Amino acid sequence: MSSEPRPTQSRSHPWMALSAPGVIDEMLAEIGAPSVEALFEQIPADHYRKTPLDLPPALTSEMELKRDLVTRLKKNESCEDNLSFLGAGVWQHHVPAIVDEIVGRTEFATNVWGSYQSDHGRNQTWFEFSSQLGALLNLDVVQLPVYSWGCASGHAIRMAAKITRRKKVLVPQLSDPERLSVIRTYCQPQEMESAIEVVLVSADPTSGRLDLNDLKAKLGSDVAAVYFENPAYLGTIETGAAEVAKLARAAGAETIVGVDPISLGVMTAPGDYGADIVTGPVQPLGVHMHCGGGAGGFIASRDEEAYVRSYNGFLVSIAQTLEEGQHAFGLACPHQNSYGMREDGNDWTGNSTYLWAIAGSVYMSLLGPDGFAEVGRLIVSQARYAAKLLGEVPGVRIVWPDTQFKEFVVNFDDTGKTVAEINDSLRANGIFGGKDISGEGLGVGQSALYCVTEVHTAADIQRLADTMKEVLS
Amino acid sequence: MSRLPNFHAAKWDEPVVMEMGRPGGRGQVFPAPESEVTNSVGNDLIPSAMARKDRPELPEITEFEAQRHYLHLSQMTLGMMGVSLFGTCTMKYNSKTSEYATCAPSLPRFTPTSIPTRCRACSASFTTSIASFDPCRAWTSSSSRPEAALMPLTR
Repeated sequence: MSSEPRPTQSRSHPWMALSAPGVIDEMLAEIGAPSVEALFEQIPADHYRKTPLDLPPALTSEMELKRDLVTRLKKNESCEDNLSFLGAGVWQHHVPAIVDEIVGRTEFATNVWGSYQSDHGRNQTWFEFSSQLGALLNLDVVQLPVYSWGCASGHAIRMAAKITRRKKVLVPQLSDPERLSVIRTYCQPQEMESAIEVVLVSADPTSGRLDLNDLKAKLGSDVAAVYFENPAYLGTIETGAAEVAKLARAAGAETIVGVDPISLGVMTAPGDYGADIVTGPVQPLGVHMHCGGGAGGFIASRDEEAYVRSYNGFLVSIAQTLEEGQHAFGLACPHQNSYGMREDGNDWTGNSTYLWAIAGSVYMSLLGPDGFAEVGRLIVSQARYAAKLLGEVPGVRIVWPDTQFKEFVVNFDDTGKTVAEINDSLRANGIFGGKDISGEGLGVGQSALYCVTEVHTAADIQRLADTMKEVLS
Repeated sequence: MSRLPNFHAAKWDEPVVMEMGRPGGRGQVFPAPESEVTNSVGNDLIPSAMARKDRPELPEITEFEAQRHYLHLSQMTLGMMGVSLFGTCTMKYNSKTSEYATCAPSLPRFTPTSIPTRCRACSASFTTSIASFDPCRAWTSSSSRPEAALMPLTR
């Protein structure tokens, strides 16, 4: 904004409802303000920008903008045009056509959240997301997603600290560095009384699982929570999960488990092995990768007051209305989030994650119990098959064979090549190799994290193994 | 102006999805692993300590039932646009061009772990958006996620 007179408009901006010529003057007259500038009089004159922003000319028409966008997007190479084995937080899963159909409905795709009354259908869909995910987790309370799995885990740790009044959390050393950095952010700032100390628990080098001896040594009366993932970042299945939860409980600490919901047709529900708070990504449940925009993280727990009182976001609940036999949906504990208490809210969430809750609701209803069992079996079978074929390539070693769900660590130390070099060669053959985790400080040498899901076929996996042989020879 | 009908939204007798369906109902089917896969690695691959024993209590419905159910729920949603009740993230308008860009032709099938080598459009846009507020970013980043600065073309 500048102090210069507003230019006369000949038309509205297509995306601004109240921008037709004359509308601003009518609104100013209605409220008795002399000018738009007068509404911003609290901004000191020297705070206004003096020179125009150095921007290229605006693309004012949709036609020009679309041409520009399409030209840029054409430079991308997608996971459908190539054979991709990338995962590590954003995974390539099948998205049923009906999910896209429902998510694209304008009533849901708008970023305006209405009220319980105006958006009965949206609230019911959200409630069904929580209920169905609760059935997969065997837990009663599921909060609508926050920005990411990391955000969900960070807040879950805050919940545990609040419940136990302790300020230390134990986290696996073999954690996703990105998620761990978000967790650390949630535990800061160190200068504040509420800071939480993050202590890493080492891994058993033979299995990649938590080292229970190190866990026991670090557990004490000052530990608020033990956090681990199942399957873990590097794909391993934490078979000792119940034992970890038991040890945590004995020390008076909460057990927080991060789970991949698409594994829950074949893997034990975390609610059944002692998890107190559960987090996880929503993207595997019918959300495209969207170059990372499909992220979202849920938080869940038993329906106990201590937990329910420490959530930070949308808890959609069902209740009977004044009319006999009729139900409606509303928010439980709205004062705990920014929608109920603007200044006191500590929720980090947004339109996209709420839209993905709708995708998840449709996805879970389409699969049902047997669909989840089928997809889980297909994923774990193909991942093991890929690990087996890759492990047979000379110089290639699967770090922890036979323990993974959909991801596994492939080590290339004996090939004399770096992961970066190998991935470049694979790309030249139309294959995206696994994520290079060599520089992540996990002590795994030149290794890549490979991801295999239901979208792959036996032929795809054979092609990967054959190409790997070629590029390493 | 003529008198308008007092119609606001559809009102369906739509049950909660968990109360719908019948045993065996299904909306999405996945194939069994191919024979060369099972011949090679076998079955029962989840360690028994972590293998699920119970069936999750999910609805069992067909694709048609799911579509009709969620279509009805969308019709019972006002779908407001260009009006804000709460401010912040709900104030922005997601243009359909932006939706087009985020959903087609390649972005949904795109993973961020391939940046920068495979994601040239995004990384180029990221660089320019830091340098000079690339209009592409300004026009299409409709998310309220702070991370979205890294993903200028996602919602």
